[in-house]
Amino acid sequence: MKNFVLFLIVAIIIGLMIPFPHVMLNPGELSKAHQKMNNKCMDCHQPFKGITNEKCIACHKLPEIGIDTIAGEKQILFHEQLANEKCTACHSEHKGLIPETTLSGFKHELLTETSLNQCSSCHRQPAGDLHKTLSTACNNCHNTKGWKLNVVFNHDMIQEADKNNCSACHQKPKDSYHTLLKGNCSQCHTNTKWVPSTFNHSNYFSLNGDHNAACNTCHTSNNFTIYTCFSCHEHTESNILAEHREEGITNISNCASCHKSGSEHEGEGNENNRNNLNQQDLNGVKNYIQKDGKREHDDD
Amino acid sequence: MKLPILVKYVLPFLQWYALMILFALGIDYALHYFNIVSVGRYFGIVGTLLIILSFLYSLRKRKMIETGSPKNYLTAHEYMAWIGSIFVLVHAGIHFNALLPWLAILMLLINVASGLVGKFLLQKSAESLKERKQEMLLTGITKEDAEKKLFFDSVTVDTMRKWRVVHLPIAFLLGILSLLHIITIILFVK
Repeated sequence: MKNFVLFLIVAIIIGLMIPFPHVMLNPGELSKAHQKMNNKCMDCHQPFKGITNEKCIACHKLPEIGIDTIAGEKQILFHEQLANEKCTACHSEHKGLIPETTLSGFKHELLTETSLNQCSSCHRQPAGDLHKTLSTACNNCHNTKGWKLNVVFNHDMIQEADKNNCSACHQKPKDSYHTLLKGNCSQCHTNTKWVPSTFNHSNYFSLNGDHNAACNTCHTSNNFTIYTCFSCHEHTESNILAEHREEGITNISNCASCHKSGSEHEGEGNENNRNNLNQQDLNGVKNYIQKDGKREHDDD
Repeated sequence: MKLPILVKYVLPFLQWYALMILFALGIDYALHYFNIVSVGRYFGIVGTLLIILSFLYSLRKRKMIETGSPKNYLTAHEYMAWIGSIFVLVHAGIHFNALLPWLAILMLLINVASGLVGKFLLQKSAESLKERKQEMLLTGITKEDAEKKLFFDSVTVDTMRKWRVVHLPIAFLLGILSLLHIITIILFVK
């Protein structure tokens, strides 16, 4: 009796597998487009052989593959180049209703040499200004491992007409120094690195020794034509004023006009420095900023 | 203090069962963490082979194999089937798709439970019940009173006896369902 019950259970299970293979055997939901084949396993599967291309092509005509894309935006026609590849190398099933989840394992290596160099047959041209100015092929900068992976960019690839139009790609710096500039970026910067530029701070004040400090130590605002020496513990305003009064100097607002090198004794004995010192060097910075591109640099 | 059979034997049994499931969940988590989920497919083969190997005990028990200590075969049967079950559980993963493999997993879980009943509970519990009854009778309590006092323990042991009975038929069903699963996989190979 016990054996009979066991064989009956087995017979029922096997009996259910034949009319209801979807419920009994299906390892995952088919995508929306293939739902009508839920109980027709053999429409795709060939016993002991798997899923052959012939089964796929029986419905999906080769010249039509890629014309009706799932995104509906662009025709993807490289499939004709893949006639000898197995469809299942990239497309799998039983992964859910959403068609995109069935795409797996696509590698650019599957493409032929011809289609591999026709990036735009599958990819859209990027919308940014940078890519509009380029005169070169995609694979000079990008590779097939990833759009942003190991990007090789060289300014020489930019079309001649756009070479001096830095702001087409780069955002202009927002600090007061750069907003006042009228000339071209290339006056100070090269296209290999933004920093360092050719602007020489030593023309106005030497940044050596203890003065090799961060910009905002002296330039406390975004306006680089204004500075203060009193941010430092060493130079308190009262001490400095007391020392300079002995020399008869009462205006200590422009230290760099006398102490350009940062030396304490620089400018001693210079009668011109007494009282209300000239603004020559401070104006120099402003002039540097406001001059146009024909300037000759001191450090050149 | 005499602990009830439920606490003394059933709870340790549940620990082993829970340990099997926890191991399976842990390995499954690790496979997902290291993005090597496809390895789980091969765990099914390893697990099945271990379970098949564990059936050497059945052959020894039925004297189809005559060498070796039956006790050693039993120990090997217990551990190989337990470890094999962990592999098969990882292979199954937490996916609710086809009914056939899930029926097979259900049979596996029932079978491990019934096996653990045999290993941990039945023999010791029956002995314990017998000892307690003897002790009570020696103190002068009548047989009826002793049985009344040991009613709950007797029910527990009787329930376990029924579990032991299902071990072989469920193993048979597990074998058939697994075989069907393997055949369909080979039939519908990708």
